[in-house]
Amino acid sequence: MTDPTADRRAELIAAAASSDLSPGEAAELDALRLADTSIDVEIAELRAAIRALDGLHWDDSAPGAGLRDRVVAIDTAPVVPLAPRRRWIIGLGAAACILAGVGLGLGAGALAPSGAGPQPGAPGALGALEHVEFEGQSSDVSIDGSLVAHTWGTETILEIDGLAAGDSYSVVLIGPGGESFDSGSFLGSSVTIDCRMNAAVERPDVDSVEIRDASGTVVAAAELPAVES
Amino acid sequence: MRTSGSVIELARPTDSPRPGFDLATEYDAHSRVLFAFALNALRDRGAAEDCVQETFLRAWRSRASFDPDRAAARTWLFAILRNVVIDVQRSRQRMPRIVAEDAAPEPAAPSTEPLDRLQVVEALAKLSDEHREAVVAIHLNGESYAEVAERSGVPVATLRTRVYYALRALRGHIDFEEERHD
Repeated sequence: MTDPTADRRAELIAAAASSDLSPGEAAELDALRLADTSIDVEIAELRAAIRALDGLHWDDSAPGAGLRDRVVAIDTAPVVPLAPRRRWIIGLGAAACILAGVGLGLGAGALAPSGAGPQPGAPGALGALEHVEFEGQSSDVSIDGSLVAHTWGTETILEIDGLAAGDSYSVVLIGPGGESFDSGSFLGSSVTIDCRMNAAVERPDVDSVEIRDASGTVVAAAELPAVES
Repeated sequence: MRTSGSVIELARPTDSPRPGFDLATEYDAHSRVLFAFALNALRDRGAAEDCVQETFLRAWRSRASFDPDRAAARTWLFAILRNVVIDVQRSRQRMPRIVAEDAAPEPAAPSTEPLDRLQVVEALAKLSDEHREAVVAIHLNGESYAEVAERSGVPVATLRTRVYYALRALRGHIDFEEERHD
């Protein structure tokens, strides 16, 4: 059962928020205001919402028919269902790091499961975890690295101990022609660093991963196997 | 006269993933609104489709740990997609591209407050069709209530109440997200 009084109140407030009231409606709203002081607050709130829409335009078109096929095919991707190897953290952004022992505080509890994540798979397999071996780092530096191939780029996952606390480091993916794809940067720390970074290059176009210090010197690098087509 | 149906399209019989998280079922239930969010956030159809695919990929591989008692499937998928879209936006900011002028996608949404803008786009995508259509017509396209009523056959009073509840839902979503980020 609808409430005609409430509907009329809503109608007048919406019209007032966009200055669409007729003189008669304006008088009617003024009369309502005398008994309902929340009306002016609501009009102000709706106008704030309208201001938030400034500059937007809306495209209501549907996705292409092929997208459904791509999504439905996800469960047939060549991913080996082994036990997850590491904690998986979603929602930290393109070059996001956390320090071990520091709470996540992401707010989206359903998105930060402990024990679920990408499963190991072949290099280049969409969504699969590909372990990579870093070399060249000093003996007091430990780097545990993996890649995940995505449709829109390559994700690098790093767990690092021993890099100089406070110093800046960058992660760069290197293409077959030596071209560089920036994946983000982080600061060394005295505790374990857990990083996820993304670069706008597809995994088949990546030959190696480098961690560089602020001067650009490579402190560790991992050569990657070619992706079988 | 009151607007029919829910303002926010969240509660549906298919909203809780069944064991196994059937991709086809969840895609059919949620892909349209997810795509609308990605498309209007990125203004690039190809990137938007990739984001939706990536979202279902992440959902599928995390399906065992998803707790439907803590969040509806659509809420969960939107949260994943939001992060995917943010990743793409940040990646674009770091990677200037050189493309032919006629091949360039539309400029991205204004980036002065990208997270705020993303919240607004997400809130619009989550509205029911009839509520979103009313808001878009009146407040994005600049049509008058009388013009929309004439075009659609929906009475002005109904359009106004739809806009009222849609704007309240928008406001509520933005307030919720701001509190979540505080």
